[in-house]
Amino acid sequence: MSAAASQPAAGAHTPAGRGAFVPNPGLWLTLAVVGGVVALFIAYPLWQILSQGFLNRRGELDVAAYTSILTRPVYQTVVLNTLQLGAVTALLGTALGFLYAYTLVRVPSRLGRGLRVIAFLPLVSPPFAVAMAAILLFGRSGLVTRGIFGIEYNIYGLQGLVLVQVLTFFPVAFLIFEGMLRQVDASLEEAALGMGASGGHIFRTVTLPLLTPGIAGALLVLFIESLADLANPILIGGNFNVLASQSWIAIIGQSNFQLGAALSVVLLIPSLLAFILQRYWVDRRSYISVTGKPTGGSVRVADPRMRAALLLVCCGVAALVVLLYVTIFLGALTRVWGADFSLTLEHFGGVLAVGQRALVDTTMLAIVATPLTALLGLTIGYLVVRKHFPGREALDFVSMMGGAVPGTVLGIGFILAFNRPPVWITGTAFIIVACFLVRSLPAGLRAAVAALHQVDPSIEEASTNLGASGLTTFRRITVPLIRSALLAGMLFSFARNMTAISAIIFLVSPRWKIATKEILDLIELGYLGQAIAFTTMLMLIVFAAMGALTFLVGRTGRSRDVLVVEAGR
Amino acid sequence: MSQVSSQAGRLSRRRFLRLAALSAATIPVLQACASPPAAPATAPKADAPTAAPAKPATSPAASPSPGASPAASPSPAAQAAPAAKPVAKGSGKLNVLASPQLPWIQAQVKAFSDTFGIETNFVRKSGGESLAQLRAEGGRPTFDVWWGSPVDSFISARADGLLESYVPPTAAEIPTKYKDADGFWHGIYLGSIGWAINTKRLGEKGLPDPKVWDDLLKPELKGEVVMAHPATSGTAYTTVMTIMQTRGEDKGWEYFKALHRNIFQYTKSGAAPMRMLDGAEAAIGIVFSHDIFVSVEKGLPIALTFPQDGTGYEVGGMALIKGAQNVPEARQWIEWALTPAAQEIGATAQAYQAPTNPKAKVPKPEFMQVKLIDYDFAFAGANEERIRTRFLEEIAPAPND
Repeated sequence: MSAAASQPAAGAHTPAGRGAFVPNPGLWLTLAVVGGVVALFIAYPLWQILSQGFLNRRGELDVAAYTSILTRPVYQTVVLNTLQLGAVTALLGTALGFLYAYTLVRVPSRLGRGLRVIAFLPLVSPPFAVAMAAILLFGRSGLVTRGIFGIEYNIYGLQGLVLVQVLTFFPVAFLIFEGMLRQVDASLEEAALGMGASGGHIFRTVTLPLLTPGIAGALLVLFIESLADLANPILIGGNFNVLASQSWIAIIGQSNFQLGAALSVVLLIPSLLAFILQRYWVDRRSYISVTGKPTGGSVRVADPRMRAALLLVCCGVAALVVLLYVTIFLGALTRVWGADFSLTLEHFGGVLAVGQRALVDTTMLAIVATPLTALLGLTIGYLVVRKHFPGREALDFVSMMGGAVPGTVLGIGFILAFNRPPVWITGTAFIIVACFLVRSLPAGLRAAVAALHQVDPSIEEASTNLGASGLTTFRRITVPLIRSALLAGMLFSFARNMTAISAIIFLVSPRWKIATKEILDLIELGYLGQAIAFTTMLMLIVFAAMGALTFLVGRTGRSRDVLVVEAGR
Repeated sequence: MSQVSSQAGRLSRRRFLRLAALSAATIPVLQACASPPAAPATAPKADAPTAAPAKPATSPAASPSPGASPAASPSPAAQAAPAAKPVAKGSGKLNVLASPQLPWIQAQVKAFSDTFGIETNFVRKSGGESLAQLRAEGGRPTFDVWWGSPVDSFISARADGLLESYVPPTAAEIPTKYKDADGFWHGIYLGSIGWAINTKRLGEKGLPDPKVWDDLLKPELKGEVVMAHPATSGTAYTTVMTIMQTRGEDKGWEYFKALHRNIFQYTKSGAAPMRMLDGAEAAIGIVFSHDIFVSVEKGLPIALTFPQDGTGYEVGGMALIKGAQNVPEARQWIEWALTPAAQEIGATAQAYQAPTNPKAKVPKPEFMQVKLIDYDFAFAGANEERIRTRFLEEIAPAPND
């Protein structure tokens, strides 16, 4: 931590300690390779989406798709549904994330550690887990709704989607707020307290204003996540369609690529606006550094009733999360949920017969993609933070976009771009690895950038002055210094790869099967027990691999780094 | 507070580099696996069947003198009994696009690859999805053979020029009405639309037991009927066609507008309503009878019934995909899949569709011994895209709460 102290890391995107742009062949070559990868796998597919929306099946210029989106009531409803869901999820998720973080930071208790671990569960679990458990518990034959309260609750629709999305995405907001609350300067609140202000008054006039950028950021990030979500609308949306699911049906059901592309563009607009707002407006107004030293540990909630209430709410949420995951495990062992609750192992046997290949393929491809992501993210991060070259901002922006655009948009862009020469890679492992790479690049890149801001460039300069080449310095000085942040980035990349669905769903092929798509198929074919067993196995693999990776590289992936990565999503 | 010692730092750096090197080493492995895109580069392979006589060496048994005895050259006897020998010439690989239940596909694929030593991969997609995939790939297909979607989709695909004609010798055993006159597709099974009734739920709620199609419109059944979405499911499209063909299109649209008020949910796949029937989330599902019977066999309170005023049925088809990269293997599959032995595999994997080959044993004859309508496959195929889109845009989105 001594190295970090001298670099205040004012803003994540302010270039620090960069010299003038000195062209050198090694740098040029690196730039060309990195720029080529980013252009080919992010910019090119997105360009395809934009252009295909205006081309009909015969390849003629045609605005029919956009006209029908603008004029047909069905598509207007879908657009409104999407925005409504995004807004509600963002508001509730941010509120819950804030409450959770505030409690964990300001109400110290022995439960803190456990509560924190529970909040991580939804972040690294497969996309259908929460929704399936919610149906089993709160659906028409739900154990809770029908079994305990004897009511028939229809969970399919907006209500179920909000429940599931809030529980899935609130941890993202939680991590943002946790980081901010730990680093907010305690002296301001202590001063207010010293001048006799009440707890509620301080909260309103000091704490909240300090956290405003965090609130705005969390709202925007959750809005983006909600819009991009495909798995939950498919499973629990019922007849409530959103843009992500409608564009998916346009492609897989109607084989109308023009409509699918046009719907994607409509989905892209609010997502991209939110992304740009978050990046250029919220981030620049940050009063506190996410990467500095923890300073805010000393402020506590004084009122015991308040403390109890906060803890109670958080424990309630955590208990709900735990209940959902326990339901998944039990569901995997139950013969037919709702009809025959006898225990069985037959579903696991079924998964081993049906899904072994998918599990192996997915794990293997995720393992291949993870270090590649780390390498690419580190290289881009290093170039962006330490070097000065034309197009630096564009490289950073486009790299981040691969993860920020909704997965369906990128997936559709991938088939449009890569199912024809010159780069014909559909049906191969390449396209899946490329997709993993692009989707988790922002996690790796943010980790690298945040970590690099903590490393004083003078250490690297000393190495260069002693005669080491740029590559040697990078390899022997920079990389070891930011290793733990890289590990954290890799952990999240791997979990994201294993559980990705919205983009990858378009790219499976006879040779390469993806576990999440197999789970969706099993659900659709009515093999709910097997689907749940499959989900359980996928979760176990993710947890085991994360544990193994942490162990392998040493327990250096401290919570600080994990936090930085997630806050950067 | 956590200054890493230089020794530890170097060790872990080495480990990190090893990881990086490992990931770099996987690239050539991936490259080796990436055969599909490489295939178009070796273009002559696509023409392999026509070029086959030029290379007699690979099939010593069949062609000692291809020109000498023209009468013997098609050798119907040898082909009629598909010998367990590898095909004459080809990649030894086959990609199958399949729609039936997973266990059946797996059993079928395993039997084929065991018999012929051909490495066979498959992807399961519903009928609508399969057609969409072929259209999307437009002449550059990932797959060689398409097996087991309702033939409505095959008729549409043929009209779009996505299929290749191939008449195997075994096709002679298939009745004329279950195959395309020009050999673009062949039927492999028959299945009738039925109703799955969760008797427990129906009884507990005191709901009326439906007898004819119009009974499904009763207001008491609000939110109790599940069917798949015709835009993505062949099953649902067969259901829509059943009504449209017996009542005419206008009356048909009226029927589905009315039925929509009772619909709990439109699922993506045809068999998916069974998930909600099994879990007692809904009382009635419109599903193929063979899919319903799986739940009956599980011992769940599910009854399989049929509308008394006539039900529709599907012929599950099979075709060679135009532009397929493994044509000899695909032909081998088609020839084999029409044999009685191949058509009896389904019943071993809980797939109770009736085989099209009269010589094959019928697992559940009663499923087809119900009142069937005179289903017009040509009409269904010709109007598929229009009707699916209209359903998606006008029927399904209407509010029904």
